Amino acid sequence: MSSLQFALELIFTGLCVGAVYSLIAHGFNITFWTTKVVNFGHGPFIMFCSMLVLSFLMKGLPWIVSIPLGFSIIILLGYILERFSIRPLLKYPTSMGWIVSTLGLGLFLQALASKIWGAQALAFPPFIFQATDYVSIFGIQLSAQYLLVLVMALVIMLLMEVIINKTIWGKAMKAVAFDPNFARVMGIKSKMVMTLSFMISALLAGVAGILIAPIYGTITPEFGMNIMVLGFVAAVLGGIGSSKGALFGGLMLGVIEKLVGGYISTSAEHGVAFLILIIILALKPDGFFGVKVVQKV
Amino acid sequence: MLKLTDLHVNYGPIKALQGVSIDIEPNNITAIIGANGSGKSTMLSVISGLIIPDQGEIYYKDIAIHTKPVEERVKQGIAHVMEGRRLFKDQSVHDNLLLGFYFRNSKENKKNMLKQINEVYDRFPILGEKKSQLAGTLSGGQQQLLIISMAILSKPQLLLLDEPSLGLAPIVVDQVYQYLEELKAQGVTIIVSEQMAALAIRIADYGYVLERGKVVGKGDIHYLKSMMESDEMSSVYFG
Amino acid sequence: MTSSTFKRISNSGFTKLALFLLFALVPFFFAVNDVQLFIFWGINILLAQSINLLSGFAGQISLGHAAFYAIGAYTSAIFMTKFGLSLVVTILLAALLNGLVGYLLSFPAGRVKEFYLAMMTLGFGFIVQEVAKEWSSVTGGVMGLSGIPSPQLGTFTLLGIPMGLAYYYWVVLVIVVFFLWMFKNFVQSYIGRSFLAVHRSELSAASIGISPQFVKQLAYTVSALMAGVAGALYAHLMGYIGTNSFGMMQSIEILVMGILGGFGTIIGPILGAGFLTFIPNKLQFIQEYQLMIYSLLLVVSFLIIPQGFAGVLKLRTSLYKNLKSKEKSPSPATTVVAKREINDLDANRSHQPILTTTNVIKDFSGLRALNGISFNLYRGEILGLIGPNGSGKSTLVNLISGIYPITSGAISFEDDDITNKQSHLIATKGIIRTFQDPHNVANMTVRENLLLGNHRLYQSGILSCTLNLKRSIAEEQEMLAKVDQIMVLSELAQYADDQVGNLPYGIQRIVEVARAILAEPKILLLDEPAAGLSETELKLLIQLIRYVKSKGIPVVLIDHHMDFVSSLVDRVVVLDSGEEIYTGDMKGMKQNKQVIEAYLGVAKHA
Repeated sequence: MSSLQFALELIFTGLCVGAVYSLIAHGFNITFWTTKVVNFGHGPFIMFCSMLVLSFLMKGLPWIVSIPLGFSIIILLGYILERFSIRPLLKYPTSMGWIVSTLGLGLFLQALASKIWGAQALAFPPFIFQATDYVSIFGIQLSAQYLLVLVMALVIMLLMEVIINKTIWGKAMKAVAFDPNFARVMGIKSKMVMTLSFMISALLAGVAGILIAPIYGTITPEFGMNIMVLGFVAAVLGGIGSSKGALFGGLMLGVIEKLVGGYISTSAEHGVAFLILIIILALKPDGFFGVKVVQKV
Repeated sequence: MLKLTDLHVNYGPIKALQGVSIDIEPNNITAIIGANGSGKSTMLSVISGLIIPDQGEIYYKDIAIHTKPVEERVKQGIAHVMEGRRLFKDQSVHDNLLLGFYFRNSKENKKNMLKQINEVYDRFPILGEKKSQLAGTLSGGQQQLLIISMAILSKPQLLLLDEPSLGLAPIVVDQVYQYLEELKAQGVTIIVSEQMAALAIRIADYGYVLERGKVVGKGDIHYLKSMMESDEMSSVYFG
Repeated sequence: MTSSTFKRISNSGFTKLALFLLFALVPFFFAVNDVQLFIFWGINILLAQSINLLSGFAGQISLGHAAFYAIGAYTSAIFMTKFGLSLVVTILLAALLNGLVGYLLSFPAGRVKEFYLAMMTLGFGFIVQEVAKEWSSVTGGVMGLSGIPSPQLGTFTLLGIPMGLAYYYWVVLVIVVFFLWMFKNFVQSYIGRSFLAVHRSELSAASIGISPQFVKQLAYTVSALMAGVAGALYAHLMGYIGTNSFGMMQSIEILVMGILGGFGTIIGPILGAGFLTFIPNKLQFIQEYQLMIYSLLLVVSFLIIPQGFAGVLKLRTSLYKNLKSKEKSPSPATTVVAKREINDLDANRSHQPILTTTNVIKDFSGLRALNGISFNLYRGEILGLIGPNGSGKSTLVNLISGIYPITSGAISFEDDDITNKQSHLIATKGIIRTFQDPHNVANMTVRENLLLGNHRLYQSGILSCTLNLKRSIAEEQEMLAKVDQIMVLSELAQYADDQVGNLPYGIQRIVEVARAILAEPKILLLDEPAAGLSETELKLLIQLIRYVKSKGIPVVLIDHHMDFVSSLVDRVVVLDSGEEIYTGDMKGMKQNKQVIEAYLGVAKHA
């Protein structure tokens, strides 16, 4: 294999994984817009949805039933998260309350998953394509599964953009994000929009779980937390609250990770990502596309 | 049309309104005059439902509304233009008007949405010209016209305006006020709060003077004018 | 038993000695397993206090605390197994190295807040665990490090003497008690109080001369140091350490101990640590559902018991040292003197400016809030700063106190250029301000809040406070006496030991003004101090401001309440839309056409 081909393959793999990171970052953005809350239990949501779908599959249900079923449950969890773990805590001036409670709910899902499905890794079946299916583009062998993930992640993000920018509900969401009281005066049910944003965010977590699981091949109750932190890195790289940033940050992180993995050591992949998180937060917490917030006295 | 009786509002320990009672006649422009912190904004927010009073009652067309949420009062025809030129500044002028329209009108009404928005553009051509610009890029006066237009799109019977002249050039204030008189002619009841007493009495039919959460004066336009002539009005501001 | 008698008993030296002896007897009455549990409790106490200091006191959330624990454990274990160093040395090394790591972490972490900080610490936790996993030549990688001398295995020696578990227990007991003693001294000093001030609001802390940056550096360093000691003790107890012991769940467990016990107290985390040590071990079914229970505790604790066990039991830790417990109240003589001085108001006025702003301009993203403001503040005068809404009064005060950077122009104070200096440095120079809404620390008592005002006057070092050296105690007593005096003057004495957050709003405002006075300012800036005050409170405020003036301290007073302003000020500066439109006395202002126009729209008779 030529060195160029090797590099291109790394970049391609990085883009695929990165697209999923973008989806996760997008999930943070949506709740951040409406409530300035970032769900620290997002990771276990990702894990839990893929676990649910896997267990439905193992019960013999087809994909077409398992996935909607998994999504419905995860959306319901998003609703529960907002009502019980966030809304009562938004009245406090500091974020410590909701950080701790969202994290708590996430860890609860993680513990619940180990209780139900055990702590060991479970094999997740490939989706539509077989793990061995390849597509050849410009002489590079690309995994069909990876390609599918990339395309789906991009399509979903495009869809989200359209919904938010072109539909009245999307505009209402932006309105609530900008000024919830003014939105109420305009007749928009701000609280409902906030709840809705958590349900959509949970759905995005579920989608990310279903997409990443076949790439990983196996899933464990812990994998959500790890991948969530990578989602943080993606979101922070691009700037929290920015859709463009989420896309860019995710893809960039994916590529960096895979290049580090390919040329330095696979075991350093995640370590590098965490290092990027700390450095970006320290140097440029608004990321590359974020909006600087003026401090209020 | 609207009756407030013995309203009390406390922000934690601060007494923003201490027993305010007012009566608003239909198809009138009523001015609420007072210095900073006299309770003008609080009073308007209590009427629109953004703030729930600690004590007191509000009757709108003889129906008690003081426990109803904002969204419901909006549906009954109360529109509130908040102070400080609140707009969705990160969205376009057109989207702002859409948002001003969509959630406050009945299904029936929504069929004519674009027509009614186009009427706004006809009335204020500058908004039509800039309809795809972000609302935040408009000048202060254009923003104020947009905000009032957004409020009007819900076809309100009662329009509350909180310091609509704040920070506007005199010529723009004239434009805004002219529009308010137009609306009054169309049958809208208007309550406008102003710090600048002299401005308010230009259009008001009736006025209330607030000082530290209490009504210290009320009367028709002649009464307000005589207050301005004497030292009474400036003593409200300067002690 | 009332909580005050409980406090008196638990605070007496005799009780403490008895408790210590009781704990010392543990190895004689309990089985080996239980002694081990007690040791775990001690280790967990150190961890819980470590996060308590960082998150509970300084307000810096940490989701990666196990990283410090890990560094301590590995450092001590490696130095002992590879270099054969004694526990005394390895614990010190673990503490020092950890302190260094904490200090270094404080630089990136000090730049972010809230959930950004939560993310960063989470990332830090993951990094340290990754390094431990991958650096296998040193840490043993995923296999972990075994063969660490351990009292349980009988392979442990201290100073050449072989040590069993009981001896190890005593070592841990002494260390924990020593740390708790230092911890208590630390949080009850002006430094500990400054932590809580930064927790409440960095802006407000800086306004009385506390450097938020320094507080954070110190908090991270000391917190890491304590977790390091805990890690070292853990490594030698177990004889084996693996990366799994220092994962995210461990970080969460540490957090739960702190939150559940009660952040911001000393007793709380001790209880929290005890709860998490003994309960899962003693109740089997809990062990099975341990993780679920911890996580549910996280979800509900903030909702149900936001102050933890300590809050439920009403065990508050007082934040100052009062050694002569029944202090004589301040002699009436001093108060009379203070009150008499108030009559001598204009003695200190002079025509030499102490503060000068020159053509100050401030733009906020394109909007000009202040357009070339120049004014002088003279020694001994009270200057009113008034104007309608949005005229730029507060902005001007925020520029002088260094909260916003200025766009152009200059501000000088006593011949020093203070333009764009950091706000805590400006406060340290003696320019003290209050805020529109009171920025007291709600969960501190009136007395403790007032002591915060004194912050810039304290000279004792950190070590001196931590080890309760005589000088630091004497200084504390001196400050307490000053506080007593001001409390009498501001009629706050009856509230001295009440938490400020529970007091009426007007009293809170008075506390903030009194706190500013205690900072012995050279200039006092008051931003709407009269808003929301009752008539009696207003009179009190006027009296306090006159007292300040009698000391020759110039005051800048922003307020909308004109009667109040005119009863105090010597001159006024009127702003409108960022421009200065009038400077002079109140009388002239009321006649001034421009001023009337700014307020009413047009001048009367126009």
